[in-house]
Amino acid sequence: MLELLDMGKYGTFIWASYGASVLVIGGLMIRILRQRKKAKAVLRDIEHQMKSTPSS
Amino acid sequence: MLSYFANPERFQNLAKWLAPPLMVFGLLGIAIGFGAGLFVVPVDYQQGEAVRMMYVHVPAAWLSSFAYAFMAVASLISFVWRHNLADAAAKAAAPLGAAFTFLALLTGALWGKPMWGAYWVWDARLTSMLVMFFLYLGYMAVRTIVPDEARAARLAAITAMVGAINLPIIKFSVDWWSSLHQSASVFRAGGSTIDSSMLWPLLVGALGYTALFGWLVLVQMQTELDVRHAARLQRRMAGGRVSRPQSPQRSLDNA
Repeated sequence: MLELLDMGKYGTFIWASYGASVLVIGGLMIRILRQRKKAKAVLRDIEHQMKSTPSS
Repeated sequence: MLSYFANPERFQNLAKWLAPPLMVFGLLGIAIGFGAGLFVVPVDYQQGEAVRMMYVHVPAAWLSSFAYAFMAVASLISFVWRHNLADAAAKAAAPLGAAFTFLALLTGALWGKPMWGAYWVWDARLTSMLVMFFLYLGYMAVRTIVPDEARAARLAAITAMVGAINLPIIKFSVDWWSSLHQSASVFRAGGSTIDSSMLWPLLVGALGYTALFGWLVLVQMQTELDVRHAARLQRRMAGGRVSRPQSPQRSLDNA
């Protein structure tokens, strides 16, 4: 198993580049899903408020 | 067809069924590309194990240019036809493109150090990629700094369109100037010069990156439409019956 992970003298560079890619892609996904959730909640709140305050 | 999807409701319906498969294909493609790049692909006769960095560098670099082209076309549509969804698409693509350009630059530096002996050189390819990174940041800065949303959208669209001149410069930089960076080896006249055992994970990975970008853009566009809708409702609540002049950028939201 460890043999498989050994990338020889370039190991540090290879693992750093794959690690950075996973981090950035994962970070983008989390950020965008969080923003989506927040925007949905805000919109729901406002729509709820509009329903509860009678418009004259 | 474009005007058919200009309707935000139709877009939301489309996004709802298109988003999940895009995410699945995206993650699957990236996982296969990375997995094969790390453990399946044979070592290169010149680069040795270092060739494995191609599978994170090249898809990020391709996607960063693709995302810019996407942003520039969306900006053109938003600028000429005042297309609200196109504006949301361009706005959504900018930070994603910036992130992938950053990745291309970072993984390129990590690949450059062992292969060229330097993390960075002021070479035409590297410099034009750095310029694209700053164009993305400039676009985002315009959208943040200009307070009026409609004005910000138009100024940002101009930034994106003018910056598109950089795309052919990136593509042909390796041919026009002598460069440390290798010239095109996949999409070139006469076919790819990469052996198929090394090429397929690259293509699968690149498709994965592109599908995931599609998913990220769709979700971010949905968020943007919700935010704009919420702002409109809030204005309506605060303003009561007072009718406000509506900016053309927002008018399509109401459809």
